[in-house]
Amino acid sequence: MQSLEKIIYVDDQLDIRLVAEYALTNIGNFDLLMCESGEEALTKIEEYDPDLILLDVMMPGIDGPETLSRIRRIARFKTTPAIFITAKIFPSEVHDLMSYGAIDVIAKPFDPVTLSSRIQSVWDELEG
Amino acid sequence: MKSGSIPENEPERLAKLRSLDILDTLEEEAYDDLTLLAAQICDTPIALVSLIDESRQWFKSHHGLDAQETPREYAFCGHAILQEDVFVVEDTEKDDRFKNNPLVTGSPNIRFYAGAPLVLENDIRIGTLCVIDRRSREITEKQKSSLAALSRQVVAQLNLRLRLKEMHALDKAKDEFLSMVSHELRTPMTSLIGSLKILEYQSENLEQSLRPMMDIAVRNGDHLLNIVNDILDLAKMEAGKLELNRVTLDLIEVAKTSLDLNQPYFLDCECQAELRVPEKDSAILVQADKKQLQQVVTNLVSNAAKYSQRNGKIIVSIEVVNNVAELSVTDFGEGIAIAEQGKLFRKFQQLDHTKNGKHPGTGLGLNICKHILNAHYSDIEFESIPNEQTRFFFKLPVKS
Repeated sequence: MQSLEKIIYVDDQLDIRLVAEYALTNIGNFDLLMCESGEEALTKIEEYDPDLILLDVMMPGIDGPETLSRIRRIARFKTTPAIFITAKIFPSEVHDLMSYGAIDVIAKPFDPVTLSSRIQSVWDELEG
Repeated sequence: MKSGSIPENEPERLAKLRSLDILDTLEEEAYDDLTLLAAQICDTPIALVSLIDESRQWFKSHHGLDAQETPREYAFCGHAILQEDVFVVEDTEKDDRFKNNPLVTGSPNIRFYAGAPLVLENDIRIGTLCVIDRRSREITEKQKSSLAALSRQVVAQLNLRLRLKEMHALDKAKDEFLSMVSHELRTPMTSLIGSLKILEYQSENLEQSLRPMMDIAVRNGDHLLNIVNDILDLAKMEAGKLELNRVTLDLIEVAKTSLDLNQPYFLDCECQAELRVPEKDSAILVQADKKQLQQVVTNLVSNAAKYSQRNGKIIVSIEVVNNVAELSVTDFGEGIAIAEQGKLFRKFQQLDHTKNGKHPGTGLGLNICKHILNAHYSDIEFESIPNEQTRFFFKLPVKS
C-alpha cells in the first residue's frame, strides 16, 4: 500500500490556507505545497509530484473543478486522488463535484483537528 | 408575386420571438389540438401555427401538411401579421399578390387562406394561426371569429411558455443566490472556527485565566455555525429546493442513532433516554430521506433533552397501527404553556424557559422539522400538558 506523504492544497483564501497548513503539517504530519490559485497549482504540480490533491471549488481565475480537469490532462496525474474542500455543500452540488472524479468532498468549515485523520482514512480506504 | 412587408417593429418582434425559445422545438399537444380544432371548425385540410423569423416561416404545429417550414418571401402569414383582423384570400389564382407564389403554383397548391395574427404584448405579432385549402372557397363570420378565438389560445400558450421560462430563470437565480450566500458566510467562518479549534487544541499553552475566554469563543463559533446552517437549510426549503433522496430505511435504527448523537445532551441534563419499540418488530421500514429524517428525530430528541427536568426521563417510542408508524418523543419537563403553543413553529421563536441559556438553539429547528416532514407528505404534531409532559410525534406509512 502506498503511503500518503505529499499533498498539494489549492485555496485562494490566505486565512484558510494558514488554518489548513497548521492542520495538515502540525496536527497531521504531511509534506504540503500550498497554492493560492489553480494557475499556480498547474505550474507547480509536476515538480512537486503530490500523492493527493486538495482543492477549493470557488476561486477567481480557474475554479477547482476546472483546475482538476486540467491537472487530469497531465498523464501522470490522471488518477491521482483528489478531494474538494468547499462551502458548496448542497446535495446536488456535492453530487456534481463527485462527478469530476473526486474521492471525497469535505465541507467548510472543516475541523482542523480532525482534517488530517479524515484525509488519511479516505486515503486508506482507497488504497486498502 | 408580392411578399409581405417587413413590420415597423421588426427588431422587437424578432427579439420577442427569440425570447420564446420555441423555434425548432418538438411538436406539442396543446398547439396540435388547436390546429386540429381550427381545421375542423373551418373545414379545411390544413391548419398551421406559423412563426415568422428573419428568413422563414416555421410551423410549431402543422396539421395536414408535412413541411416544417417555408421561405418567408412566400409566406401568406407574412401578409397576415400586418393585419388587424383575420386575413383572408378566398381564391389565390384571382389575387395578383399570390397567383405566382410557388406555394400556389406548386405544393401544397394553396387556393384558400385565412390567418389570424398571434398578437403578443405591445402589439408584437410573431406569426399566425392559419387554415389552408386546396380549393377556393369562402369563410363565414362565425368561422373567422372562431379562428381569432383559437389564435388567442395559441397566444395564451405562448405566454405560458414565457412565464415558465421566467420562473425557471428565477429559480436558477434563487439557487445561485443561496449557493453564493452559503459560500460567502462559510468562507470567513472556516478561518474563524478553524483557528479557534486550533487554539482550543493547543490550549495547554494558553494562560489559565484566558481559557474560559477560549471556551466562550469556541462555543459561540459553533453556535454561529449552527445558526448559519439552519438559516441556509430553511432558505433552501422555503425556496422549494429541499432535495430528497428517498430510500427504504429502518425507523428503529434512525431512533437509535438519534439517541447516540444526543448522548452529550443527556449527560449535560443528567436525564435518561428510553427507546420503546414493538416487541414483534425487529425493523420498521419506511420510505424517507435518511439524512433529513435523522435530522428531524435528532432535533426532537435534543429538544426533549433541552426542556427535560434535571434527572428526568425522555421516551422515544415507535408504534405501528394499521400499517402506519408513529414515532414520538416525550419529555416530562415544564410542558408548553397554552399561550406559547402557537409560537412553536414560528421562525426564531424560542420558548421563554430556554432563554436561561441552558442549551441555546437557533429557534429554527421545529420549523425545519415541519418542512422536512411536509416534504415527506407527513407533519409534526404535539400534545403538551403544562408542568407534566410534552409529546412530539409524526407518522409515516410502513413499507411492506
